Amino acid sequence: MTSESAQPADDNLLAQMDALFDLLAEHDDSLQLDRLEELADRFSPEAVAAVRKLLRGLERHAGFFDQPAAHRVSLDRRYTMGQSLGRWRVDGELGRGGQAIALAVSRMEGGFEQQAVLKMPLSTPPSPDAVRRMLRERQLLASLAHPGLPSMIDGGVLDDGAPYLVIERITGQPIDEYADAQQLSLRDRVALLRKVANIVAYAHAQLVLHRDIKPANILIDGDGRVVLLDFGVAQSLKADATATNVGYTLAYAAPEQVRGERSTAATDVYGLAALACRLLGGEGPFPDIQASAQVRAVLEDTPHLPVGLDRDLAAILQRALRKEPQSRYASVAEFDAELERWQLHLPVLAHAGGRRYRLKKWLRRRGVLVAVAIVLIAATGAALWQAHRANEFARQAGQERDSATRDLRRQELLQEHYASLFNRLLAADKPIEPDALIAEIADTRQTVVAQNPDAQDSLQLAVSDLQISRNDFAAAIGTLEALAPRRSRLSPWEQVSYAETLAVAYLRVGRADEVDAVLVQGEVASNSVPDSRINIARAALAIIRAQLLRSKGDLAGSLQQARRAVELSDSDTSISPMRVGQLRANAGLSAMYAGDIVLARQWTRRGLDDWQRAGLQSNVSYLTVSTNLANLEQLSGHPAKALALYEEIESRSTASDNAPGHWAGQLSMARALALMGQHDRAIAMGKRASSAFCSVVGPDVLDCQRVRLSFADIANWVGDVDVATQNVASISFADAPVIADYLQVSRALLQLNRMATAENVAAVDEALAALTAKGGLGVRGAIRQRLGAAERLLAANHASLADQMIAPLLVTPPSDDLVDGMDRLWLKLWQARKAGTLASQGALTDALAKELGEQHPSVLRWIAWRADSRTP
Amino acid sequence: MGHDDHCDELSSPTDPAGDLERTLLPAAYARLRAIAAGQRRRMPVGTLNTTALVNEAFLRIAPDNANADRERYFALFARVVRNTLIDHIRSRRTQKREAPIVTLADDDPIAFEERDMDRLLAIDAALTTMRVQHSRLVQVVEMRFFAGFENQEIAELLGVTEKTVRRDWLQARALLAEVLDDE
Repeated sequence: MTSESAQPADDNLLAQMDALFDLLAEHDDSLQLDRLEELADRFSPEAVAAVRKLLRGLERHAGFFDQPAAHRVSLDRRYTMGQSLGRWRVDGELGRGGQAIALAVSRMEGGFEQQAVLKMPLSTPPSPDAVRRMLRERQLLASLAHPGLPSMIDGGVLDDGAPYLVIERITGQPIDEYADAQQLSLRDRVALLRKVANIVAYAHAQLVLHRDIKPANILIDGDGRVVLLDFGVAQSLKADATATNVGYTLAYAAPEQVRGERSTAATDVYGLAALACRLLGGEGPFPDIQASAQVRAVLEDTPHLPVGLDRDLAAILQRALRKEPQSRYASVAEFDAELERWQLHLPVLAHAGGRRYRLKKWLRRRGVLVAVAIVLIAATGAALWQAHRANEFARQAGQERDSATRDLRRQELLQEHYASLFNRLLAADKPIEPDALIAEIADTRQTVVAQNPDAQDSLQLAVSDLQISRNDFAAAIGTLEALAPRRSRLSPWEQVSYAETLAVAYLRVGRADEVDAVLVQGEVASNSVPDSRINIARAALAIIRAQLLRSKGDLAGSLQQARRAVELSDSDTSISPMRVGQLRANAGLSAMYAGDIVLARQWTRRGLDDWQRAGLQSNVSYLTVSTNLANLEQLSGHPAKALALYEEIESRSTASDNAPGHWAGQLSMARALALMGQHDRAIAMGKRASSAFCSVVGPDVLDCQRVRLSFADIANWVGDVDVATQNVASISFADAPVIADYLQVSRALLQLNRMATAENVAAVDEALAALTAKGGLGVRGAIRQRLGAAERLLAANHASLADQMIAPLLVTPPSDDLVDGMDRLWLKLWQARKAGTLASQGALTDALAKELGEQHPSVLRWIAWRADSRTP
Repeated sequence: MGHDDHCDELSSPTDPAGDLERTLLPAAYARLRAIAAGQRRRMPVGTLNTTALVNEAFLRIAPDNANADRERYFALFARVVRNTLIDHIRSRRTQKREAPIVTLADDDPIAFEERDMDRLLAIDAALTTMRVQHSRLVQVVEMRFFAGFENQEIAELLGVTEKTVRRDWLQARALLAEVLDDE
């Protein structure tokens, strides 16, 4: 009490307050305010008020004093020079961050002193968070082995339970200082940057992000070795990585980090580009900005690119520094590939906003065959999609990590391969045929793929796929059979693709007997495919088994497999739209051959919708599958509708797109023309299409026989005996299940067209009965053939033979779901004719005219026959 | 005392202290560690036998410091603990200012500690002012809040009744709570 005399009033107040506290201290804290009020009349109101205020304040903060102050602060770890930590001796401190401390340590090992860095949590006892982080860093480092990353030497637990890790001590210069000290040229600096990018790409392939790329974290040692340090903030891409956001360095941080969002590979792309700004221009992307303004700058401002920087490099950095992660380069590998392009004086892709865009633009400008674009885009697009999926899988499921990693790495190599191929084409600047292009793709000698046998095998697999898409089945078989000895080295997923592609090729060249063994191999491999892709693997094999069964005539079995494939693909949303579309379209064919037109139309439509939604209308198969849909219209008795569709498809296709598909489509169109009564056009078009088709795929291929048979059928329909004879005679594989029954029918019909006799009618009847007995689409086919044959007989004034021909249909009428459109109208007309009510069937002939056109021969005939029946 | 080889930041306290104070530093560390460790293990400070360590240090210096009576010695010890902790907080804050690390996560444990560190610095400043009028209160706060002694221990060390300690502790807290309000 120093101011006794100066301020007696205050003194009095203080004395009174002291006295009050004396009395209050006898009570528990919780009772003191009550007690104060009881004592109030014995003290001055000022003293009571002052103490009341203090007690209320204490009430608000009582918790703060409950525990000693040191509880609220974690203490820094303490060590002494020369102290032992595990087997290591402390030599000094290298640095400390918010949570960890790094010591220089050494130990004697085999007569040599080994120097290292020991990292441990800064606080003691360590917070659970610091322990978690240290353990994660240890785990991450243990999973990485690359000359560009410090290797982990040792690890352990300290007395207080804190984990520590010991890593290689790199003595070197930070990359920026090194580059400046060495006075490196621009090209050397880019080369240095690429070394860093390669290290980061390696870590990404191990599913680890760095997230704190900055000059201080990259050291160059005396031997020029580039080492990326400090995975303290690295984040694993694996699902069990719980941390979402930890420390990073603001000057080099990506916007998503500042926003506290999840980091992706694009975050490190940004980090590398920010590093590039420093290396190539001397400053980070947002120099001379105070810390407080920097957050806003990172989020909103345009990065400062080095003044006078090479235009291409500036474009690359601009793209890599975009605010939205998805509009940067998708991977460090892509970013690195751009830098490589720059080094090789090739056009960089950054200017035009992406490889595919640029490719399309270039092809348009050069007027190169559209097919080239389609093949390359399909190839590159598929690879991109797969890489994307691999990324997703890696994130989703820990146990699939290994296989996803492998796939990812291969896919990235393949992408680079396609990119470099594209650049070669760009440089050559001349048109290229699709098949030559595929040969170029298969040539791995000059690209990144050259050093990786696994990636080469993957590439061969992709090439075989392209060959299939070009209908070059023999080439695909050659590619795959050459790969056969190394088949078991492919990943299970690739083994399934291998089986899938080879089975398709065998099927298409008529080697159906070999398909089953291939599929069984694939089915065995499919059991080892990671869970997330097992559905698509099984669906892919099921759909081919459906084709195999179809080719063997087991239509019900085929439909069952197709149904399974569709169900498997329905249950899995991770399958690429390209694959789903193919599966459904293919299942549609099985349903069609099984005679279930409604289901066939549904699946085919869905397949086309899948592609449309994904913007894949330009894929090679889109027109083919559109043709299938038109075929379904024709099969269900709507040839006019089908013809309109064919014409539309034809307007969008050229022979070079997919030659066999194109000609097969033309043949279908010829059939529609025949049904529409345009006989001459039908024959002319059919002749051209069938001979072109067979010369493309080869005259000895099964599909060629089917085309010839189909054309013979058209000729029979229009009554062209010569053309039919010629085609029937040229058909081989007469015993193949997809051929035999139809060939019998064609021969019998040809015979009947040559000579209308009761025997020949009986022969047709027998052949149609056999076809009907097989079930499936043949049932419908038989009905239409019978209707057509009967009408031709009646038109040729063979009324009794016509009656004989049509009798089975009238005795046991087919169920409603087997006849639609014109077929149903014809059947009803025959039924009316038999019942003698044809005269009153004006509505039927009107309907037929509506379906086929007023000038259609059949319409004119039935109107005439109706008129005849009115005046018997 | 071989304390010169401690090479963390605490080995060079900002204000030069007397020999006695420096002698007490290791014991002060030990005390702080014991308190922090007790917190992690959720044990009361009283069960930690660091008082023995302080006693031992006292006995070692007592013959050389005839003036150093027990009361003064423990008061000084508590002061050293307080200064040590505050120095630690200051250096931690300096580090944080200098380190170019930012964290924006809401549940960041460091952000929590940050606020407590500010409050402790405010308490420290308030104690320095308080010493003028209420030197005994400050002593109690140092012994209880910083050095973590129990009321009974403090009463014995200062040669007063436990009731007096309770009273001083109540008044001291009430006065210091005002500082926290300003925070």
